[in-house]
Amino acid sequence: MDFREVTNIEYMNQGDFACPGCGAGLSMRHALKVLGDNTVIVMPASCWSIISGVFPTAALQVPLMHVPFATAAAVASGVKNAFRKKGQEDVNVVCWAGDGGTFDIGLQALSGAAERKEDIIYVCYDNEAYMNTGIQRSSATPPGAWTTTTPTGNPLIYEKKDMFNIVVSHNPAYVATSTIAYPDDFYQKFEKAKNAKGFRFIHLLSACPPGWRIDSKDSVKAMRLAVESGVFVLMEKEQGKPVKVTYKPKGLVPVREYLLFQGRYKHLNEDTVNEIQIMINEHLMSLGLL
Amino acid sequence: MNKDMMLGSEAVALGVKLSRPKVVSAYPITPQTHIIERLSEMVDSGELDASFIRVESELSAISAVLGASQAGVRAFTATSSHGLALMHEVLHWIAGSRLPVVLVNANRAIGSPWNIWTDQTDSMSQRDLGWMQVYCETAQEALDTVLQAFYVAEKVLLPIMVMIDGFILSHTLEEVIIPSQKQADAFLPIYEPEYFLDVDNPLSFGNAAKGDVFYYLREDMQHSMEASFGVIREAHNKFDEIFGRKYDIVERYYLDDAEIVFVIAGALTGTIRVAVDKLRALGIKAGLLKIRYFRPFPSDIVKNLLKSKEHVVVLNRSVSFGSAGQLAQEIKNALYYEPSKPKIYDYILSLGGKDVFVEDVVNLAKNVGNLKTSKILWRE
Amino acid sequence: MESVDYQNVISDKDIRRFPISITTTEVNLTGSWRFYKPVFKEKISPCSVGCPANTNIPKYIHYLLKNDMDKAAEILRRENPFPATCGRVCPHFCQSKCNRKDYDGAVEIKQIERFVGDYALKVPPKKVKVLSNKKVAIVGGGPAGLSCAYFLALSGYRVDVFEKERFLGGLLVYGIPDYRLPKEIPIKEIENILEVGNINVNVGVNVNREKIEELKKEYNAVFVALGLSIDKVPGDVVVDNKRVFSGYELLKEIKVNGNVYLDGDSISVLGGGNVAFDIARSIRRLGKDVNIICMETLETSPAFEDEKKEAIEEGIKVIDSRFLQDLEFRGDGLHLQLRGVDKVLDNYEPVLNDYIEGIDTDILIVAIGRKREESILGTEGVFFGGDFYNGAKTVIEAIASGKKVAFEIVAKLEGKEFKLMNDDDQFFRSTDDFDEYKVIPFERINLNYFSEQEPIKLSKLAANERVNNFNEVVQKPSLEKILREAKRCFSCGVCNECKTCWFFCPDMCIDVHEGVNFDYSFCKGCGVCSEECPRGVIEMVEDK
Repeated sequence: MDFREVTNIEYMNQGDFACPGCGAGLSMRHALKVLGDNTVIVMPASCWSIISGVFPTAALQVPLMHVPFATAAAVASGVKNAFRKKGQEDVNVVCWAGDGGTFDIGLQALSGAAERKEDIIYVCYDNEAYMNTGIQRSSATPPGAWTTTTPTGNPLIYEKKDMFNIVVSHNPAYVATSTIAYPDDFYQKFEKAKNAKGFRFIHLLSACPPGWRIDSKDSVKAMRLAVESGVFVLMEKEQGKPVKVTYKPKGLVPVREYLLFQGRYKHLNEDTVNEIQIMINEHLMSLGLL
Repeated sequence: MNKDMMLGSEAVALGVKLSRPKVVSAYPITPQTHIIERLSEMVDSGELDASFIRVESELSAISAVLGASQAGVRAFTATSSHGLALMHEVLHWIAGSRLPVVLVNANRAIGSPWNIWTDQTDSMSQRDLGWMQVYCETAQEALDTVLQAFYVAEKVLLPIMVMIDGFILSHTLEEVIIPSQKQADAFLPIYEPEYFLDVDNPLSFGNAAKGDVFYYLREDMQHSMEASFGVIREAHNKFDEIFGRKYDIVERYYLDDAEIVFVIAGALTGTIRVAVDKLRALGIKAGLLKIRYFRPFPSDIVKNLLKSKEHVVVLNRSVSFGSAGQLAQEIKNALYYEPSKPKIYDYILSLGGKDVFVEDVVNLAKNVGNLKTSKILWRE
Repeated sequence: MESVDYQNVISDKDIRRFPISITTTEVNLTGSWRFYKPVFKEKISPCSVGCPANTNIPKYIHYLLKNDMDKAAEILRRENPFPATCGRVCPHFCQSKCNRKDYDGAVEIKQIERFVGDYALKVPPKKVKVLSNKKVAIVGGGPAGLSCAYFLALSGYRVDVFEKERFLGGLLVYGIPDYRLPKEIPIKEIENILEVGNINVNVGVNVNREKIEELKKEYNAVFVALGLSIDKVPGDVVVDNKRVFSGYELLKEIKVNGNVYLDGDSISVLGGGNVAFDIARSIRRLGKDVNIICMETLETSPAFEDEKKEAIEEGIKVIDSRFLQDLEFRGDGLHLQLRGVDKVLDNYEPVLNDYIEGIDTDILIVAIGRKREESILGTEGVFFGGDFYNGAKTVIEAIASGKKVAFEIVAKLEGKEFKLMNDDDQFFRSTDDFDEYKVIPFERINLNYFSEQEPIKLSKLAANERVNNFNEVVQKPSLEKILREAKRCFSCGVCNECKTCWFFCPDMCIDVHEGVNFDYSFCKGCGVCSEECPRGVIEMVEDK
């Protein structure tokens, strides 16, 4: 991607409260560059509840409403229906939720909105734990990962919930996984989501330097390694078409390299790393990538 | 004048239709179901130009209404009992957001054990939200109150919960005068909020607020509640002008010279009216004070009406376990600073739909000299 | 809270009622969170270390890609006044150092330089006023002398150039055949050098030791860059200009007249360097059968690889590993007795073997190298440079030598000490256009921002299209090809405004314009910009 061709218009203000190197702040910045100012954000409890600024200041230049943790997709349904009734059908109504608000407490509302084919875009920025409350395990926490509620590591039998396929099973307009470490992929998918009509879901892997126990400078690198090692697969599913892997790593990086540069995995022994590698291989085989 | 026989639920649906909401969202629960069935029919037939969002839970129903209201349109939902409890978190959020949502709650007991019959524990449990609460006695009142609720909520900028007792009002046929849409439109102006989700004026709603800020936002909610009596009276006056029906914050029945006063809210008021009539026929100076607005609670009005009475029997249809009936608490509270006050009896009249017969109430009045004021009174 | 002027947009009553945020988070100066801060530091690309003139190659490629050709030409000419010439004849040491070499093949810098150099032909440099009364004499108007004159003139010194031939340019004008370097190219570049002003040219002046002594008195400094003026000739061979010729002299004649008369059809050229191949290929173009006799094997002979390959394509026979032992005049021709050579020692002495062969030829052209006029070397108090001082080297080395001497002279005249920018790499640029002397290694390149792509292929005239004319062999590359190739440049250590840092800054604290500028009021110091920069121009340094 030629970054010189990316718009200079920013829809975020400086001075937000994201931690240094936060993947969620960066993802929002670019998502809005694609979505533009005809966009409304609905935000359940998440790191972004803080990032967005303290009353009466705001980090976003588009309308934003904060909502209770479990309600994002339902609130967005109400917002979209209101806009439709006001003759503003074209407004992008976007849920911007973390993994907790999506995989766990917000899943029911999400499923409801997806099933009703609500005309909204649901973005989950997945930093793989309850980071805002201090790094507690969620159902998006990968096997093996340390969190404050899995102090000896998330048990390997707790496989990360397969959100992509859960949403796909509702047969919505568009479902994708992406990460800002792959700018082309990210921009194309947000563009597709923006142009599709109906329920759209984008699952973004989003590095959290404090929660992943990595140096803030390695934030983008971590997201990239997750993809290059096959831990996170970039995919999409357009309604009526088969699931498509949108990026195939050239040569798979051993998962060891991804895991062991992160503090949250540093307790893993060689056997556990190998077991995780096998789990990843099996997943990749099921996708025809191995 | 156009009249019809209809269920209390249907009267509510009619009131909603006349209020022209743009978004309705609800999840079915007995005994609220007739309301949303009727609204669904109205939306599907085009009678009501609104989106009906058929959500997967009450939590999502109230959430969808939150979103719609924040987006700047009139929004409505109806629920009952467990459903209201499930909405609890979002009810707080709506009040804090100062959104004029109207919710109709068909009062019903909350389990365990399962019980679908009426009591007011569900709505009394939600009295501290920052929502206004109105309790209705008749189908006509329910219809009229829905229209008034939108009027008041949109001026006070707090949401309103309108209560109808499950079954005894929701499922009971009554004669209802049907207002015209023209009258309704004359009464209820087009909803034009000042602040809403607007891509041309992008604001952030609900960003984290520090304690000092949060404190005065909450203080303003209380001030708005206190100041709302003026708006409510204004609504009642305007309603009377257009529809020719009078409403008040509280309602008096044989109260002026009464020595024994029953205080009650909701549809059982009708039963008590009959009891009062019987007691008067027996020469006992009984009277009735019906509480319409429980939030804001009209303490001054209540105080002035009751301070010189001898016996005040509060007929609660809910209880705050370990304390008292919620209605009784308020009555006692209103009279606390009076130098001479009546004897106030905290009587738990009915829970979970336990039948109330006129004779029970008559006997209660006859026996009032033996009642104790020191503890909650339960029926035998 | 108190500092926020929200009352312009919302009443005091409303701000105490609605939880609405209406002002910007820009009141939070998040720069105060920072422990490290990013700084913009341009460094050194390995290619520019490889280039004897230390040209800032990534920088001019950047401006080429920005379609700012004037700026590209200016940057190129900051270090080398002969880019169009070098784009044709330079062996491009830069390419052998290119970091891309180990990835998918070095960038074809030569073609890019030629392209920008050709543009520069049409854009003369700006005139410079004389800034000093001091004068410098330059003896020798070849690439070293002219380069020195150019940089002195740019520095505001008056320069007098003394050239023995009728035209300036030396080897560039007289010694490299047109099919490699059309003569109008260096001539135009020389004209451009003179456009700077301050340069007075004296042609047809033979400068000997006595004359140099005079110049020393008359001028504040004297630079001697006479090149190699004397042909080397083996043992008892005599250049008679009938059967035996000097390769260099013949080249000059062909360059000037476009032709030369040789009485015979079978020609042998003695020598394995570029001059030998140049004269062989020139004579071939005049319709003769030509062979080359050299001591080295074809592979180890010192001529450029392209020269050898193209010569063979053109039908020139190379008789390698042979030493001319004896030469005999037989009738109208010559009989050459050749000995086999096992190897050639470092001092150019062959180790002979027993093999003997005889060949007949009409004419022998001697092109085994040239040497300098030793009598001048001893002169004290003058600066020496170019081939005269360094021996037979490339054009770019002569240019670099002239440039360094120019700045040595400037330093001397200003009473300062001349210093290289880096001694280990003998690095020197006319402009200090980097922030830290650090050569970017391949490992520092963030390969995630590149994908493999073959270098462009040169387009050359086919052998049969070129053997009967002196047309340039390497064809002008298309703009499209050049831009595609230019985009392959890693731009090691030099910002090319790719905006990767800008894209990945979570805090919108980066502005990329003529380098990278940071908004330290809000920069949280995460370091993503530095880590993701594909080319190592952002460093994190401790802050507070």
